Amino acid sequence: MNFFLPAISPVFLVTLVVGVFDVFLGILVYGKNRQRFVHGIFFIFTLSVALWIAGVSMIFELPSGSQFILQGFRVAFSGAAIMTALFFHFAVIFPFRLDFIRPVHLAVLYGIAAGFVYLSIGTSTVVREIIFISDVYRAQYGFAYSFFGVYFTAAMVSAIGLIFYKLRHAPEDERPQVRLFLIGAVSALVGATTTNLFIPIVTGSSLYSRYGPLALTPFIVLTAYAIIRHKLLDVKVITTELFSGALIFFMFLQLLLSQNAAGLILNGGLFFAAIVFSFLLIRAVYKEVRDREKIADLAGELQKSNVELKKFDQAKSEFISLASHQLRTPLTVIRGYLSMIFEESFGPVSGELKKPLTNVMLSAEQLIRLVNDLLDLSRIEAGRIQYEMAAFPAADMVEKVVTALSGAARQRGIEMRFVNSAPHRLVSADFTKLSSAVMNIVDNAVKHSQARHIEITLQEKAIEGIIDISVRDDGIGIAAEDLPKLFGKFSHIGNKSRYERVTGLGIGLYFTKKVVEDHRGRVWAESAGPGKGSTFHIELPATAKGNYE
Amino acid sequence: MKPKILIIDDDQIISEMYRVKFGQSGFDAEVFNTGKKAFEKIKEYEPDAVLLDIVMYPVDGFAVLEEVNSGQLKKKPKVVVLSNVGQKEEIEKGKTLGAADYIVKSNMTPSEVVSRVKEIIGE
Repeated sequence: MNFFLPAISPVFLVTLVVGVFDVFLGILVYGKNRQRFVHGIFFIFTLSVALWIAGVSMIFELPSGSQFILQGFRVAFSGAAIMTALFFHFAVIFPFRLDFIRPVHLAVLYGIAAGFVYLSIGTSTVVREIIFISDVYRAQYGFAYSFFGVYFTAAMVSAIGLIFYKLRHAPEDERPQVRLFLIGAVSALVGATTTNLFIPIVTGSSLYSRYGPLALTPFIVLTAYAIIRHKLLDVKVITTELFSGALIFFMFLQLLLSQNAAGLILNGGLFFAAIVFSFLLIRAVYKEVRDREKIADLAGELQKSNVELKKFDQAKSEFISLASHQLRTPLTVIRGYLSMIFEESFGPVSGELKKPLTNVMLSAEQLIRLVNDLLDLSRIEAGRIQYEMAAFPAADMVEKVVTALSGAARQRGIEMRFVNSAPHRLVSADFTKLSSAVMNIVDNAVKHSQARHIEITLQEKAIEGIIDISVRDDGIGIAAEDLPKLFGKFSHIGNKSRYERVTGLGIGLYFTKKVVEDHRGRVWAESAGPGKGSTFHIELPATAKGNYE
Repeated sequence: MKPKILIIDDDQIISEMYRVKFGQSGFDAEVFNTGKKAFEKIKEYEPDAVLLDIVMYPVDGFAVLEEVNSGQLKKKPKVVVLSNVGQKEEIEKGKTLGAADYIVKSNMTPSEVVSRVKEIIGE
């Protein structure tokens, strides 16, 4: 007895709810994607289950002695025959089609199913009659009942076999669906076969057949879930949703089975609370899983990008290595033979020849420096600059630069001098690269500033442990708006040759900045404006080793 | 007796340049333009020093260097790697394989290379 439907037994009520719920799932799945054949097959399958449930309900809910109980048996067997064929068909096509099961095989199966539907409804060869003995009835089965058993078992076992096959051969992302399908199918097969086939055969009693529909429900629920939640089959989400669904379902049953008005109100409140709680819980879990999947996707993309970057970096290194080798080879010959000519390895060199040869030599050396600077620049940017650190007097390095450019300065009529106010201060640095960095600045002053006087000063700053190398010229100066752009890569300001070494690339001062900063120093330029000269500063930390005497 | 130097470089112009310079600087200098069978040449010529290029095909300078340091030579020469590949990895590899020095060709004039080799062999 219950509050809503006092005349209906609880088992029938549950069966009714299950039947409606199964069809509802079928409609939901079909509604999700009417274009896909598998959705349609699933929907028709739930209808055949409903037919079977209807037959089972007629058997157990109609009054004893009713002539419609026999009809109930026939309807149930019809539903089971159709259900079997549809289940097998579904196993062939979900989640991917097995090509070795041809349409002709399915046609034969449906033909057999149609045959059993006819035998069940139109003849007494499956269920012959019902015998009532003291209000308890027993079904008398015809000769076709055994064939039906074979058909049902063979089709179900084959379908399960196909699902196992799919589990082994499914792509990684479809395995969760197949697994769910398999779990549902096995549990349904065991439950339904036990209640509707084995027990009636062994005991002759159909009493437990009424529980068959309940055994089918996990299969329908899990399969519907597998179809709808394709690619969203996270265990957390599944567990939460199934738990919430079960909670709501039982709260609903509890509500239907309420004994009185007080129970109705209480169970109604609990049912409503279960819905709200489930919604919030599922939403939270779903969000968490979605975020995790997003992060996993991003991590995957990042990893791919890293692999690509590494490949690119490797290709770049190989290119640099090859390019440097190919560029340096002819330069080696040019410089090498020129030096030997100057050394009179091939005979005396006339005075008139020395100047043009000197110019060629300077250009060759400039090209070599350019190649070296380009290579170093590439390595700086890749974070792979090769510094060979050593402690040496800063004055030695500056002296070397001044000496290297004094000839060029003299040629241009520039008076250049070096004021050494910190003769003994050491720096810890890469001598070659730092010399190049300082050389870029002095070279610019000599060749491009149009100065008459250049003064290079080395001094120790008021701040302990910092030395300053300044290069001051009285040349064309720098406009205020150009000062910040001076040390940018490939920067060209105003007259593009004015402040850069003649590399054509605009990397000299950028190189200087990079090297100085890698040595924990800083570099900047000052100018009162066009026509008022300029001063470049390089600050470097003096080494803690102290002075060199 | 003049010190002997073997120049192993597949670039004939460069190797000739060094041959002339070393010859003018008091060395007996010979050139071998391939890494293949270079080891046999070293065994036969017994130089005091070897100028060894790296980028050669099919046998590169590193392979020759490995053979020289394999302990099979009666007289083991000082090997100076002379290459235009000057990346840190190659320099370290050369020194690990037993090179006495690693010089980037374009950074030094032939005179400077001669001076360096003389320093290494103690001339």
